Amino acid sequence: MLTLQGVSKTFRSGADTVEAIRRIDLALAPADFLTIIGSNGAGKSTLLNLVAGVVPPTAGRILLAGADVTDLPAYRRARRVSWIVQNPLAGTAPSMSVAENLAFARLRGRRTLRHALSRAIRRDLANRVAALGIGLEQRLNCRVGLLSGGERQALAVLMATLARPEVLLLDEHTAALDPRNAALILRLTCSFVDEMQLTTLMVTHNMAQAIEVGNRLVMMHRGEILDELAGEAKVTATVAQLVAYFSRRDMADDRLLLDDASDCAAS
Amino acid sequence: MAMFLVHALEQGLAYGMAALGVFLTYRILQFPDLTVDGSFVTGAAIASILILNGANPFIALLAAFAAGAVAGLITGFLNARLGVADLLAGVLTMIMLYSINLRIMGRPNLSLLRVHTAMDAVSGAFPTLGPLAILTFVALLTLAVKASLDWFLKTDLGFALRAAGDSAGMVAAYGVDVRTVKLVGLGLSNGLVALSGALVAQYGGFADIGMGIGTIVTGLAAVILGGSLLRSPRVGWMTAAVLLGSLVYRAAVAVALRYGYAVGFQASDLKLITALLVLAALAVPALRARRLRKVSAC
Repeated sequence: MLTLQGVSKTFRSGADTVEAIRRIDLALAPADFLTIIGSNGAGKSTLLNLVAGVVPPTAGRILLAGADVTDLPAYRRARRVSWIVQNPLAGTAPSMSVAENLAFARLRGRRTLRHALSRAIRRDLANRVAALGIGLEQRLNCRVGLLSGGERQALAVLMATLARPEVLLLDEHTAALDPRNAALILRLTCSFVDEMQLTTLMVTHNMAQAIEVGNRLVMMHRGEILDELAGEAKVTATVAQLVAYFSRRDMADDRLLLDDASDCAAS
Repeated sequence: MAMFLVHALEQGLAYGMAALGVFLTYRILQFPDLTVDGSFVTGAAIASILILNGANPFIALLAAFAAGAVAGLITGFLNARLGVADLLAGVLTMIMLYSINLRIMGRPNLSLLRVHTAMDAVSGAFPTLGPLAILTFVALLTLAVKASLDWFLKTDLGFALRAAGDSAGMVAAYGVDVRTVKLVGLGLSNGLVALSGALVAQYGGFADIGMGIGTIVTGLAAVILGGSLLRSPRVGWMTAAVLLGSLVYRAAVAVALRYGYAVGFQASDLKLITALLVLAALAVPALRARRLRKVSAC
């Protein structure tokens, strides 16, 4: 479904260069759910940005279902690739209502002069919102700016999956939330991914989360994928093993270790 | 006295269309567009020269809208394609328009007193309405423009415009090219501003190269004033608030011009007072936040 061939990304700023991604090869089959962990600056977010088209690669090719999308800008990939970012403020339009945000997401860039929020569309959206099970259907006309962070991120999850993307990218999308809301958002995400059999990439700092969800897990460091756990190895992996793996290579940072101490099991 | 109010209403509605244009860029698209100071005159100039050359005054209004839209597209092109910062893109187009407007008009001032304008046509066609004919015409035209804008903002494209202004980083994720959206918004906005200029020229009986100075400020005054009088997240109410703001502003100006001499005002002080009013409205949130900080620090 998604293939990266020798993809590199170098950021240049004056005389400084940072090799954020170094010749990464990756292939995801349809409905693969890959979790990505790694220390700060490992290139996890850059990897997702490359797949989304937000930044162009310095070298290599990106293929979606066999078609080369390397040179397509983000807005032209959006019909096929959805992404959710960490900050709930950035993923929704705060001065538009819940229903308007969903109607906008539903369009996927279609720019016609048809009524974006007809009665039939509103009814359909209301049903989908009700399925979230957090009471948002009562607040369809409420401005999104007035919702809590958890409610907004739940809305963002629904918006991103509304038009069944081929690939879903999750960039620490539960990291800005309190543990209870983080668990809720992860549960919602997983139920959508399972239901629609979405090909998914999820960056997380939470090792327990990385083990629990998905069918593949990769460890990144300094722009490279060092190791991958899949199948039986991933099911039986423990947080302690991963911590030991990172510590052995002197790659652990405080955030990576601290998160595991405080996080509750999700999903 | 009654006619004094009628004239204030007529002006409030005629300038209200320019305020709707400013609302579209400043509030919806979050783009501070200074093109309007030039495109207002472009509308007046195009309409006047067409009428002076025997064109239908209503067709002249449409032509003015089209010319203004082109001016807005130029600003959009400078910003979205050439990477010129939003304020500077507007200023550059505005300065270019100064020369272009003079080219269109041929001289700095054109009189329409001896030709048949839309106002003459309306007064002639509905003599039973008497002095209210012009007010009725301007009101219907402005409300039709408002209704069209409301409709547009509820379409797919309108939603993209609103989302782009609200959360620029997010729209690409939903398949919208921010650059295209800016072009559409700026074109439409300046079209409305030019339409307003054309209407004001026909109403006042002249077009003048300096008549656009401060269009952005009076537009903002109407947007801010209306927004404080009528708060609503609904599009229809937001545009209604802009028109209300324009009416209140023009009424205040009319009163000031009529009775202001008593406290020593001159007509030429108008721009200063308007700018100070807008400044006050813009400064309120910052001043309020400062006061709150002080309280919470205690």
